[in-house]
Amino acid sequence: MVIVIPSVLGFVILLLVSVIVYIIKNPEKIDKWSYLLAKRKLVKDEKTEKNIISKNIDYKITSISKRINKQAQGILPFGVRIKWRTSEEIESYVKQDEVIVVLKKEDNCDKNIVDTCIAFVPRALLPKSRNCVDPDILQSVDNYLIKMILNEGTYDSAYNYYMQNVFMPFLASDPNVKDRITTLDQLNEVGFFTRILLEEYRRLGDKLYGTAEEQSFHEESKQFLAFLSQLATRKPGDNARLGFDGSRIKISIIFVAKYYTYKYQGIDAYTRRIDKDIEKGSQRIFILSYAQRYSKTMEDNQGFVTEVQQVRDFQTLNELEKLCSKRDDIRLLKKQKYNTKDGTGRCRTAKYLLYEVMK
Amino acid sequence: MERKNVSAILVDDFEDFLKKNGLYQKYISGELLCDQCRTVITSDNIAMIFYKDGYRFCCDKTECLEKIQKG
Repeated sequence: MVIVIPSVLGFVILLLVSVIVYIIKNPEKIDKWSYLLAKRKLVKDEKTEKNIISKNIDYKITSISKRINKQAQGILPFGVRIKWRTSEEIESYVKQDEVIVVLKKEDNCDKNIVDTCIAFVPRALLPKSRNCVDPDILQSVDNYLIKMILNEGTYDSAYNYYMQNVFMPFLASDPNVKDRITTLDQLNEVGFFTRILLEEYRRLGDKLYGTAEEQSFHEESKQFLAFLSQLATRKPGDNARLGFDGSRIKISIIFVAKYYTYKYQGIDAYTRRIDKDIEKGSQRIFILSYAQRYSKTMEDNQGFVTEVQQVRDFQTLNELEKLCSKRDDIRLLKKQKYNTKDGTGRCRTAKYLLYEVMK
Repeated sequence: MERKNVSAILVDDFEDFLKKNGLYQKYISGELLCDQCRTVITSDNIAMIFYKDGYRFCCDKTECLEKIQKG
């Protein structure tokens, strides 16, 4: 008995610590749990109704923000916390460029949730890039992101409300809108939407925010979207432009993909590409690869092969990364694994390295 | 991650807000209009208040909310 109690106590302490660490790392889960709890309350008073709406929106937006900011830092730098105000407090808020959403005490909470997202996203998404990116693109990106937010988490009728009353009419308003949303979808499927498109738009905004040139880059932002679109829709073996040389956005993309490139040219094929891209003036180089299947042999002490395993790894990309770490003309900014779809629609694990060219 | 507050009021507090800011008389005489479509603002159709060279209002039509979003 004396031995059992410390073990049980130790287990309970470990469990508590794990729960606390989990909550610290994922604070939006508390909003989700309180939202689900409030929904199940039999008697719904006014306070509970407000709580349901606040927690629901807070959970959705915080979850998406976390996911997106992990893919590309600073895209959605703000979270949201709805504060229910009395009239006295509203006055000072409105004068500080805040938006007040007037919420009605009606059964249809969906509209409140959707209206809050519509008010919030244009303020929070790429705040410094709102003037330098083409406004039509921004409007499509805003709506696409609102759709992602409302689709987050457990089933919610607010998503259907948004689709029927806002998103579908928006799509139908102009054929260009439908094309643009399709492009964003294609970019998102291959992992380019946040990691490359929004990342570069954010950098553009960081450079130009508050300057006289802000409004001069709408055309470049449109061309950049078109450049990524032709890459996202290419089939294996297609030729496509792999570099974008704008006046502010200068990037190149290297696909570590073809088996025969490595087999006949070795890793030099990719290091030569990096040299050429630096020469052409690229400021950032994205190197992307799918996980490759290869045979890994297990040997015993005497060097005899005891087992052959089929593994999936980024063998060529890892070799390239090792070589690049010795260079002083490029600097690794980020590396990340992610799930994506290839040109045939198959789900694949991919990895990318983002290098900055040092001047 | 910095938290930005989105302010919300219940529609019952809307009239208090107008009284406090000297807009109630205009409201009851139907002079408060939606910034986008110029519909008369009532407690049934008010969706948003924002400040741009004075208080402005937006009704709950989705086209109007989208235009506010754009601009």
